[in-house]
Amino acid sequence: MQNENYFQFIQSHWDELLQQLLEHVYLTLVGLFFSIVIGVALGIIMSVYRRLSLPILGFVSILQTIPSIALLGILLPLLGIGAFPAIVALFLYGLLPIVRNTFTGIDKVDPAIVEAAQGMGMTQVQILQQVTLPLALPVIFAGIRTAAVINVGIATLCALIAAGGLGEFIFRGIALNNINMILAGAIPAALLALLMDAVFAVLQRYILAIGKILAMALIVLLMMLVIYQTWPATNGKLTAGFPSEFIEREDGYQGLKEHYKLDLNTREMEISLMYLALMNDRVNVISGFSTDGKIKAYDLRWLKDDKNYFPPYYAAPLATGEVLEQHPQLRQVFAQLANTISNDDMINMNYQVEQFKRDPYEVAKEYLNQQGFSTKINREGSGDLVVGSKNFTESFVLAHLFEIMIENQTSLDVDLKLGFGGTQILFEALANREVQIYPEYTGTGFLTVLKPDKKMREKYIRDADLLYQFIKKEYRQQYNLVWLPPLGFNNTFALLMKEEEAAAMEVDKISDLSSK
Amino acid sequence: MIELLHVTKEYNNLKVVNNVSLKVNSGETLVLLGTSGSGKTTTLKMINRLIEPDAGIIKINGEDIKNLPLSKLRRNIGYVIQQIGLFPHMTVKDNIAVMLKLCNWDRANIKPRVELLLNMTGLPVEEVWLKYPAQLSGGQMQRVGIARALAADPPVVLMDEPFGALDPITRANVQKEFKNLEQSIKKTIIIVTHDVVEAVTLADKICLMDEGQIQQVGTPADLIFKPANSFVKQFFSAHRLQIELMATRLRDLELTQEQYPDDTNLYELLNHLEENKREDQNITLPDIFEAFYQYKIKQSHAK
Repeated sequence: MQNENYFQFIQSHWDELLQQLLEHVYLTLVGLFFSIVIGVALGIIMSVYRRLSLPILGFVSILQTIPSIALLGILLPLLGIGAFPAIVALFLYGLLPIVRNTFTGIDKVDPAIVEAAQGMGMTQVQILQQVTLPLALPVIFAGIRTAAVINVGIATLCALIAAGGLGEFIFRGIALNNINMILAGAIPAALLALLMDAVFAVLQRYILAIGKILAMALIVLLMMLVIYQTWPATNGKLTAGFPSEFIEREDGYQGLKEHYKLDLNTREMEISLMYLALMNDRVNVISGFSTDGKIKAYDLRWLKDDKNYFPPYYAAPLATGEVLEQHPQLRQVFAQLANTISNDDMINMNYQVEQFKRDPYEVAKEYLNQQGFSTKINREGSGDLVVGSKNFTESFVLAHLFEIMIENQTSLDVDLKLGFGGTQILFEALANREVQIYPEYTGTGFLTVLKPDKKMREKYIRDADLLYQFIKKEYRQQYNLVWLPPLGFNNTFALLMKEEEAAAMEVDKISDLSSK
Repeated sequence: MIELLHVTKEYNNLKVVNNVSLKVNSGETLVLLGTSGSGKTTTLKMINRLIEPDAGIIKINGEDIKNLPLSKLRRNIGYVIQQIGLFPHMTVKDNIAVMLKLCNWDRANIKPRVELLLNMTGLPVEEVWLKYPAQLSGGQMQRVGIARALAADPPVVLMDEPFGALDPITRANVQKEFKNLEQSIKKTIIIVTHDVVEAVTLADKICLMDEGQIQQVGTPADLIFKPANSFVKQFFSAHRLQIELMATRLRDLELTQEQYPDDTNLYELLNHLEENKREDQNITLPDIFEAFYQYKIKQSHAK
């Protein structure tokens, strides 16, 4: 994929590009349509009731100053996700230039012309229709063109709330570090902005002659667009909400689709928004991780990977050879933990921390108590060894779990270094012996650190035991690092559904989806 | 007939128009004359209610204009302003037709009416028909403005400094044409101007205003030869001889001539004689000036 050039990429993603382009045009035009209707109306009201001009202009100016991401964030809880909040956001951003230019355009009409029209006995409405609006038209259109160009740009951000559009390629491309993909979204977006500007420039020239026909055509076009947009949602297929990266990766949805012969509508969205979308019934299925605390928080069901598609991500302590030689009793400590933590246990621990903002140390202690381990000792002092963690809940909990076990089962004192910003960084710390032990996942240890080629990947990726044996051997040889026995749970990718919906549809495993 | 009864208009406690009463007969041309700030334009605009008076009553043909719907009132009053106010996005034809459409004219009648109006105002129909205002000369624009005001054949025409923006030569031509038009269309016309010569040229009656009050109303001859006060006298001191000649008609001098209608004024007569090199004339300059001098003396005694 990375070896394709830009045009090959466009060619191979043509259907998707077209779809995104249509969505983009749809979002921009519908948003702009309402900006024009409301904006011109507000501009006219301001020109008639001068006293309102300051508050109205102030209000729409403030709207403009809200950063677009923030505005989407404000609209999210109110309007949910998808095209609707996106259109509302675009509508609000389009207002200022149109309101201001309508008001200015009308205001700047030569007063003598207005006086002549009044003197002829034209009513206020007739003056607007026949004199001031036609004369203000070039200025109004300048505002509309500005709004159109702004909206084409902002519409790319709407991909973040599952509204589609060319932003999908852009954000997915950023996530995958794929420049062709970024440009596949960015270049058409730029061209679209230029095109819109040109179309409105031409429209301006002929609008007086074709005003009524144009208005009709616009309304028809808009209705067609709305129908087009709502069409895919009613095709009877299940809809899945996935983050950009998952959709595009060969070991994400692309492979999953083939492996299980799935046929889902996919909606691209921010990870943090997926759960919201699922709970609001905007999507039926989302991707997630099998030990995520949200599974419990939202009462979700994770679908079993019955055809072993996802790589195994069994958690296990990874330790340096030296610390194990120096303190051989550590092996006994971790032997007691081997295969004891189930997925549900881990989900619950994550849930306790995330949902109730509990201290990971307390949660780990509580779990070990329940398992009958002693947890009384909590040593402070110059550490005999350092336990590390990555920067997410589960890793914090596991690091504390290790700390409590070691300090209570041995006389060693454990120091913690938590929150390393990524696998690479933490692994480097371990390789340099700044950290002696940390919780790692077998799949990550294989893919991220060993960077296997395609042949090797295919050989090991679907067999958890084989993989574990392989990495254990390789780590020992290459880095003098030791994979201790896995803790029992598998934090891998998972497809999640609402429990009640999954129960109603009798979906328990991923292969059940292929018949839906 | 237009009547103003004790009309007053204040801005910030300043009486711009102060207790003005005035009567304009049907078919008469009245010129509201005065310096800027005299209240003449305000007075004019109160007649088509672009400005509402604070006190007083204005009647057209005996009907209080406050009781008429605004659009109906204005559609019966032609309105011409100095800046003309042609609609720049419409052709000459549409600028005139827009008034007819407002008055619900039959489509079929609009084109011939526009042609007639352009002819009346001395514009080459074929040439200007489809032009936009920006493509016309100042004089042409003002002619279109007048044609538009006359379009729906309103009985009353109000004109606010109609020729003020034109250069002197064009102004003289348009004035002359308008004078002829005025006589043929028989409308009640009120013209605002600060130009004494223009006032005397166009007026049947002049109403001279200062500081919101009427100083004198009467024929040009009345104001010139029988000024009511020193302000009036002072106001007409410029171009004195010209306006005296313009305000004096052959019939006033009892010098009836077969070649000239007896309402020909002396200024026209002198121009005519000049053009014809005074040949085959049985009227001589000394005769005219002798009679004119006698007339002036008689006028001043009559006071």
